[in-house]
Amino acid sequence: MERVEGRIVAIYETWPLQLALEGPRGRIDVALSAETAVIAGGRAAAPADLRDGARVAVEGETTAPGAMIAARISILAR
Amino acid sequence: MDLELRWREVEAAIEAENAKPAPEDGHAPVSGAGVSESETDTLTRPELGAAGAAAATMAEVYTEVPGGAAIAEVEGRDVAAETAMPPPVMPEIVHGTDDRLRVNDTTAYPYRTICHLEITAANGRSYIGSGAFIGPRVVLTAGHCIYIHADGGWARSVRVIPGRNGSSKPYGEAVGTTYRSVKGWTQSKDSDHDYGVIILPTALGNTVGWMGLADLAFASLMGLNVNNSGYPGDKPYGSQWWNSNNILAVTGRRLYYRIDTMGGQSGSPVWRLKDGNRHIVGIHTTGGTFNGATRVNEDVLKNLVAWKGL
Repeated sequence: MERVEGRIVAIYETWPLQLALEGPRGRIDVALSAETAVIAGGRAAAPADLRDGARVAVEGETTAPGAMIAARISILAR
Repeated sequence: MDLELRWREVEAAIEAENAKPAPEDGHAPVSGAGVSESETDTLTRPELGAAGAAAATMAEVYTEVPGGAAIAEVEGRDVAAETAMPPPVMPEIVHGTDDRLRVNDTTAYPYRTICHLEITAANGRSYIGSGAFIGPRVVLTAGHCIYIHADGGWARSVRVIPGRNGSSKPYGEAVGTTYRSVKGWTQSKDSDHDYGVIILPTALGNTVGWMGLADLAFASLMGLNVNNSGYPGDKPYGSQWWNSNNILAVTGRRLYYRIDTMGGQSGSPVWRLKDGNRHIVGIHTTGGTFNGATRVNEDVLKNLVAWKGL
């Protein structure tokens, strides 16, 4: 399980969602799944609570360099 | 972050986008199975399809409320003179109120041309998306519905179900495994180039028809009333939902609007109804604070015109 932080720069509206993050090491493509947990302020939130511009931490499985499937997304700052 | 700050961010992003040079080959088409390209800059003609001809034979009357009494598809109007300046800060957020309406009659035009997509990614993961026929065998959608960067690239397959209404599939379905997109998406991962098409083995489009395509000028797009209909994942499975609103901002490659959308609506058409004609002006791709579409600009149009006859 890897953890990355970044700012959401795009929310692609498939179901489940896909995200593009801008992180310290460049762009990260993040795919959500039906099981992805979204956390805001320590409480359970929903994928619909994700907003472009928000800083998030993503924990999940790396599928390729700069790409991962999210198990958990924590919204750090909106 | 408040909405005014968000809007300033969007403005800054627009300025940055307009200032940056276009990728040299951002619109260069790519495919998992070869590709071709031609050029045009004209509007393309909508097609009612065999279902439309059959309906006409039965004296069905096409009205401006084809989706049922609850839906009043908006007529596009040229309000360039009224909206020459950037729009003011909006008094509400995009997702503040859910204004989507269910399309009850998905066999009416243009709703039967809009497709539910069941996507199987290269690694076997599943997604839901939307699309719209633009030719007999060709379905327009978002690039990220057919080429998913986090899941290994080109989708393994996409099941296309036009006019789906819950469990009802009035025109059946087809499975596409051949696609077209552009290097700007598949290689550069640039949202400005987030579009592509699915090539189907059967000509379902001849039955359901398709809307036209339009590369409209900036002045015609700003403030334009546009429609959107697709298959969101937060509603009953396989149900189609419509909404409309004005275009708030336009860049060379993107449209931004207040249309309520949700995951699953990626790839759904953003269209203008004017003088009884429907033309797709954008491909819905992104949500968030401001929802957005890839604009059908000159480069996009010429690729789509080349692909629509495949």
